[in-house]
Amino acid sequence: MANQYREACHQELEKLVSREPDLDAALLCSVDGLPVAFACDNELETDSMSAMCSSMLSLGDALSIQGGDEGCIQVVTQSRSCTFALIHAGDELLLALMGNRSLKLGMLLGHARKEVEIIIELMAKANTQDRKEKSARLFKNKEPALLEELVNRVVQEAQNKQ
Amino acid sequence: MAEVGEAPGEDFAPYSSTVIETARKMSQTGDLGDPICSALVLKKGRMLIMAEANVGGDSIYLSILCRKVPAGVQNLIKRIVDCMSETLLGSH
Repeated sequence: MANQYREACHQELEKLVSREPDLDAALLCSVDGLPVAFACDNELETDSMSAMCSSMLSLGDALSIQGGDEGCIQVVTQSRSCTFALIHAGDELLLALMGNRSLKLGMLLGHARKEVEIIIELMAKANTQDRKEKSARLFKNKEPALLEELVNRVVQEAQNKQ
Repeated sequence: MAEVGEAPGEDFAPYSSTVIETARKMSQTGDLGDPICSALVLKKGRMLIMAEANVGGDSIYLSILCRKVPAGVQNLIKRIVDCMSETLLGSH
C-alpha cells in the first residue's frame, strides 16, 4: 500500500515538473526528513535534501511561533539562479519545489499549494484503502475464531444438559 | 542589535540567524547557488523576509516583517545595510 501511494505521488510530481518548464525539481519528504517521492531534471541528493528541508521548515515554524503566529505557511529561499519553496503537505509530509529565476514567486507558491491539495487527496485515498484492507483482514482472521467459539459453546451446553 | 515596529523580542534573534545558516547549507546541498534572502509566508498574506549582510567583516542578520512584499526588496535591504554600516563604521 505504501509503495502504491509513493508511486502515485511520484507520478504526480513527474507530471508537475514536465508540465512547468521553469520548475527544476519537486521533492516530497516526511516531516522527520526522509524522502518519499521526487521528480527532478538533474541529479538531486534526496536523502540530504530531505533532511535539510525538514530542518528548514521546522525552523520556519519555530520562528513564526516566536513571532506570535501558529506556524508558517511556506518558506521561500531565493538565490541568483533559483527560487526554492517549502510547504507542509498535511501533518506528516512536506513538499519542496525548486524553480529557476524565470518562474515568478507567486506562480511557484501557487504550484506548491495546488500540489499539496493533490497529495493530501492521494494520502486520504491511500488511508481509506488501507483501512478497508485492514478491516477485511481482521474479519477474515476472526471468522474461524468465532466459529470455534460457537462450537465450544454448543459442546459446553450439551455437556451441561447431560 | 536593533528593532523597530512589531518586533517579537529577544528569542527571535537566534532563530533568524539559524534559518539563514540552514538556508545556506540547504542551498549547498541542492546546488542552488548562494541564497540572497529567505522568507516565511505567514497568515493573512504577511511575509517575514530575512537576509544576511557583511558589515566590517561581521555578519548581521536582518528580518523584515511586511503585510505586503514591498517593491524592490533587495534595494530596501541594501539601503538598510548601508545605514547600518554608516552607523557602525562611520560614513564611507
